Amino acid sequence: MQISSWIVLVIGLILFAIYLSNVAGRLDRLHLKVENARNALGRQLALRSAICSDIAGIEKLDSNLRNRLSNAIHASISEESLEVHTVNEWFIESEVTKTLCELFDKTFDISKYPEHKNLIQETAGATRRVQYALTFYNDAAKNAIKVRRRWIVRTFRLFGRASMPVVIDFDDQIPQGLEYC
Amino acid sequence: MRIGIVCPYDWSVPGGVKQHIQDLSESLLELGHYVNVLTPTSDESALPSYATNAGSTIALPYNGSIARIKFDPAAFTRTRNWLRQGQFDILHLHEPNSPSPSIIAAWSARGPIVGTHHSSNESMYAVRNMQFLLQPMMEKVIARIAVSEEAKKTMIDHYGGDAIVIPNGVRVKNFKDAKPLPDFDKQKTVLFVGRLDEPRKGVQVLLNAMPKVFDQFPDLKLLLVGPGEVKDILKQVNIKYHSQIEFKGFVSSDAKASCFASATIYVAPNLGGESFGIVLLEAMATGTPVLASDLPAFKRVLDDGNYGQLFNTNDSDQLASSLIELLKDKNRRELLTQAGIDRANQFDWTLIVRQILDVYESVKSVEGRNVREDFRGQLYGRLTKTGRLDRRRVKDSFLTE
Repeated sequence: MQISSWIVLVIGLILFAIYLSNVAGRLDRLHLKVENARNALGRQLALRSAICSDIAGIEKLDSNLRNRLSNAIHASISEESLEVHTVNEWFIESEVTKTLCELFDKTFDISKYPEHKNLIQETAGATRRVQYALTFYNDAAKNAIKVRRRWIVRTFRLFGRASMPVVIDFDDQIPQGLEYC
Repeated sequence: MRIGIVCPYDWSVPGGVKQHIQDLSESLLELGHYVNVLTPTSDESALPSYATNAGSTIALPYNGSIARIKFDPAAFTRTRNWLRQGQFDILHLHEPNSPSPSIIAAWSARGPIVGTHHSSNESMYAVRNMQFLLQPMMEKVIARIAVSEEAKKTMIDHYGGDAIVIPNGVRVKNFKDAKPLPDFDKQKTVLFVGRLDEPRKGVQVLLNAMPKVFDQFPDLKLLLVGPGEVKDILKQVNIKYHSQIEFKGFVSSDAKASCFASATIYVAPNLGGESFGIVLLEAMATGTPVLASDLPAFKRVLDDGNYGQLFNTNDSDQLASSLIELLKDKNRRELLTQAGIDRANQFDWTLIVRQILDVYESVKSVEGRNVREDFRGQLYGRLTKTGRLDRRRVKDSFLTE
């Protein structure tokens, strides 16, 4: 082979290596993003549970629903138990969401609870933050999955030892009565 | 919280994105947060105290209007200096895909980054086809916000993924007590606000409808507020109506509030390209009934006509008949006024800013790391000293986590 073809080949290999390293760097960022988003989601769920236990103490609210809420948060995910929960167990968070939706349905009027106004606004914020954190987590996870499925990533094992991210699904709607709080 | 906000467009030129950023910053400052806005501007003396200059701008046609943006070596230096000095907990980029300090910040920073997408238009062909180059930078944005369903759809078309919708807000307190202009009759004034030389703002539709309305109400005034050539407008209207048309040119936002307060009805005949329709909420906040074209964005703000009257987009005849009907029906106007005020309160910035703070809270990194300049893992970083892996730094770097 002529010397010029060698040069072309070497340059080509170098460029390819730079490309691979760039994809690996990008994937590393994506994995980190998923990890951080998962931690943030766990923290927001824990905060929501904490606020909900205060809500369960408001005596003016329906007592059946308050009991249901207490039970739901007892079973739900705390920051400590975040790691042990597998993907299928996230649905238990839906129960908290559903109970909150029934407590604060369309007919709920915040002006009837002047002494708990701050707490109720905090609840509205907590449910929003859970929804946001879940959206951002799933956005990150889906993107990372998409990049990991590319043949170049699989062939050269650019993902290293990082495990495949999973999409998390539970009911995250904001109670209608809290929408403009 | 220390919040760094990047505005992609010239601060000295009024526009929706700039207004959004200004209202957001002021609402955050009122709540006691530290805010610094990095923005290009061609008039540094007019910058508020919480803003940092990113340099002057060049004009480019974009999204049907002229966007004044900044994208040159000086912008790189200034953006990176600003990032280094700011020590922000949150970096909030607006229109993160526009060639502006926004994209420079996305490229050079790492940490909790939030991006807000405003535009709801198909972008230029060239921009669309460059997306794959921008993708790795866009991925650094952790939380993406769209100001409307339309903006969200546009964003997903371009990048995929997901975004949450937090609508634009209106600073109700700046509008609700606006003083009416002295020389207009609150019962006999029709108002249009927007650039007169921009077809998508729809002034043409209104001008075609007006002769019929003027014939019914000979002492009615049409007030056109917005920059543009007066001669070109008058040319299109029969000379006998000229005395009933008044021009205000470009006005400040306080003066705009006064214009709304003096109008019987505010007409928004826009043809498209509107992502949200904040101007509708501003009119409603002053207590002025709104008559708007039935663009998806306007329909959403007016909740399919519950909070204001709608007419078929680009239909001058229907606009004329709705306008005449509304001018005759005082009760209906009062009803719409009250409904409008209620609607505006739902979009008050004091509420919207809470939702944005919730976004900040949900992305603030768990370990309390703030936003910093970081090129590791990027081509630029590999080729320069900035991104080289330093053994001492590696210890607390998350590359080892």
